[in-house]
Amino acid sequence: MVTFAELRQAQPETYRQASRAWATLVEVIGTQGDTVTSRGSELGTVWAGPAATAATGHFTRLGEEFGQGAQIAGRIPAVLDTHAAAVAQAKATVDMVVSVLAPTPVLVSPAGTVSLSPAAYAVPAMVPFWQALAAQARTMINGAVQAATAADTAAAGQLNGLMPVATTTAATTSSASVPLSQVPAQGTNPQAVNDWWEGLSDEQRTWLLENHPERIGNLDGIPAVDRDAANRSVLATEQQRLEDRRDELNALGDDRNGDQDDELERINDQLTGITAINERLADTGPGKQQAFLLGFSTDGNGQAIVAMGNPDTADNIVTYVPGTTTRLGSIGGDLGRADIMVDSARAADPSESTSAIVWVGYEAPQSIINTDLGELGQDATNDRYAEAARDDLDRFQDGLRVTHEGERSHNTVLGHSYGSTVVGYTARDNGLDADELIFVGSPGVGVDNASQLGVDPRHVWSSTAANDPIQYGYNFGDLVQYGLGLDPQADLIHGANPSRAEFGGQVFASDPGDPLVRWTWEGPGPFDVIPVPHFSANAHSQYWDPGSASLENMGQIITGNRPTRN
Amino acid sequence: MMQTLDQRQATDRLEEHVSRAVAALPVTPRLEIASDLRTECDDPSDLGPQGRIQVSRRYWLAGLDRTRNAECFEALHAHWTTNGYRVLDDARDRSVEDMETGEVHATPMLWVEHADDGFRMNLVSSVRGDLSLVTTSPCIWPTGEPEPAA
Repeated sequence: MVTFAELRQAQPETYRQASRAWATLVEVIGTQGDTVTSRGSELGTVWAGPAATAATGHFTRLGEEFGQGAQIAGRIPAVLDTHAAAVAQAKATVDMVVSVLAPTPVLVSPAGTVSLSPAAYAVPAMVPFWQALAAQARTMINGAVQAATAADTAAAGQLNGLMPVATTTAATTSSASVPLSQVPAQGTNPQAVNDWWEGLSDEQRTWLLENHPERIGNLDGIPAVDRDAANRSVLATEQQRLEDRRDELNALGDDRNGDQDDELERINDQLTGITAINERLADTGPGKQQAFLLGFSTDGNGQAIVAMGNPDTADNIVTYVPGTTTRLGSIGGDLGRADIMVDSARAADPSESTSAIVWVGYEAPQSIINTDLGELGQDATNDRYAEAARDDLDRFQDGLRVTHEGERSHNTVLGHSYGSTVVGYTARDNGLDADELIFVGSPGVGVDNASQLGVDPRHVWSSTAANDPIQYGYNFGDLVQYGLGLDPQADLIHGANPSRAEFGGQVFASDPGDPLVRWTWEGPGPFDVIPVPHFSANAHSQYWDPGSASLENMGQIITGNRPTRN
Repeated sequence: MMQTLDQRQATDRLEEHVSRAVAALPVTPRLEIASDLRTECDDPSDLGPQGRIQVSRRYWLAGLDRTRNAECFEALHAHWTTNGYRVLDDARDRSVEDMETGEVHATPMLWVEHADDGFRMNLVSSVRGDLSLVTTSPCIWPTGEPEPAA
C-alpha cells in the first residue's frame, strides 16, 4: 500500500535509474554468456576424452543459463519504466493538488488528510464552496494514491513472476498472517506478551504492525520501537477520522444540537493533543531525544503514553503520571516537562542516558471540585480514578523491565498532584516495580506511612512547595488564613501528607513558588483603601521550572543520586 | 494582559545574559548547547492566562579545569550579586550520594533571577564536575502580545 506521504516524497527517477542499471546488466550477462559458450567450444579443439566432453557440455549449459538469465532480466527494465511513469503521474497529481490548495483555507496534512481551517468558516456563504473543493481534493488524492498502489502491486507481481527468489518471498508474505485469536488481549502479562512476540517471524511481526496496529500498540511487553510504529499508524488513522467528523459537525453550523456541540468540543480538544504529539514526534534538536509513542487511544477523554528517548536502551527511566485535568488534549505541557526532566538528569550525570515517559494512561478527574449537581463527586476528591488506574500503571512498569535490553535500568515513577495518588494506590495495592517513587504537590498517596508502599522508604521521595495550596485543603476560607502563614496539614484528602517528616519518606526541597495570596489596595476614584486578595495556584505547577531546586533534585534522584544539603 | 518580549527577543535577551555571565568567569569556557527548549507556562489546573511560554537553554561550560569549579561559582556569585540579580537558591554546599555505591559527590548549584527582566540563571555541577548553565525567560507570549481567545 502506497501512502500519500510516500507519494509526495517519491522519486520516479530512481526507478528509471534502476531500469538503466538492469539494462546494462542484461548486456553484460549476454556478452559473458556468449564468451562462456565460445570458450567452451574452443576447448574441444585442444582437449579430448570423456572429461573434455563433460567439461564442454558444462560450459554449453552454463552459456545457456546465462542466455536465459539475460532473457528474464531483459524484461525488467520495461516493468520498471512503466512503474516509474505511473508513479510520476500520481505524484504530479498530488503535488498539483497541494500547490493549488496552499493559498486556500482547505488544508492538506502531511498524511494527506484534507480538512478546512477555521478561516473557511469566516464567510458562511463560502463554506459550501470550500467543502466542495475539499471533497474534490480528497477524490483526486485518493485516486492518485490508489493508482500508485495499483502500479506498485502490478510491478511487484511482474517482478516476482520473473524472479524465482522473489516468488519465494511472495509465498512467505502470504503465510505471514497471524490469526487474530492468537494476539494477546489487553491486560495480558507482559512477559507472556513478549514471549509470544519474540516467537513470531519478522514477516509476521511486520504483517501485524501493518494490518492490525491497533492490537499491538498498547500491549505491555512489546518493545518500544514496535509499539511506536503501531501507535503512529493508529494515530494517523484516528486523526483522519476525527478531522472528517469535525468537518461534518462544523458544516452543520447553527443546526448543531447540544450533544453535537459537545462532541465538536471534545474532538477539537483531542486534535489539539494529537497536534502536540505529532509535533514532538517530528521534533529534534538540542535536548530533544527521539520520541516514542508507546500508547494511544481516543476513547473517553483520550489517552497517550509518550517517551522521550528509547526506554528499552536507557540507563534511567522516569515515568511521569500527571494529575487532575490530564487527558489527551492537555498533553502538550506534559511533553515539555518530560524533556525538561531529561535535561536535568543529563545535567546531573551526563555519562548516563535517561528516558522520560509521560503516562497519560488513565482517565483522570477533570476538575478539582465538580459543582455540577448531576456529577457531584466526579472530581479529584474521588479516589475511583486512582483505583481504576492501578492495574494499567503496574503492568506498564512491568513491561518496561521485560523489554529492557542490557543492564537493569534505574526506574523512577513520579506522580504530580492526583497523579501521586495514582502512583501511591498502585504501589500500595499492586506493588510497583520501581527503584524510586517521587511525589510532587501531593494530596495524599493512600497510606499513612511510606513503609506501606512496598518500596524501601529511603527511596520514597516527596516535595510540596510552601505556596502550593494542595497541602492546605480545599476550603476557600482556610486558604486565606493558610495563605497568611498556617502550617501545612498532616492529613490530606487522599491520605497522610507525604511531604511531612512523620510520613517516614524522604522530603526534598522545592522553591516556595509564587505567593498564594497577594493583596492589592483598590478603591473608588483615587482612594485605594480596600484590601483585595488575589489567589494564585501557580506554585502547584512550578516544580518543573527550569533551574528550580525541585527540578534539579528530581534529576539527581532519577539518575540514582541522593540530594543532600550540608 | 500586558505585553511581553516575543520569542525572538526573549532568546536574544537570554543570550545576552549568558554572554555577560561567561565574561565574568576566570577562564573562558567553550559553550556547548545541551538543550534548547520551549515550554508551556500554564498548567491546565492553573487559573492564569493560557498560551504563554518560556524559553530555556542549557549550555555545557566545556574545557574548564574541574579543580577550578569553586572559583567559577565565586566569580558568578560576585558578578550576579553586583549586577542586578538576586539569589533564589544558594546551594554551593550541595552534594549528592550515589545510592548504589554510597560515593558522595559535590554538586554545587547557584540559582539567581534578574530583578528587572525576570530571567533566571542556574549554574550547576554534575556528579563528575561538569558545569552547565541554564538560562530561562519569564513567561512570555510567543508574539509578545496576548493571543485572542479562540
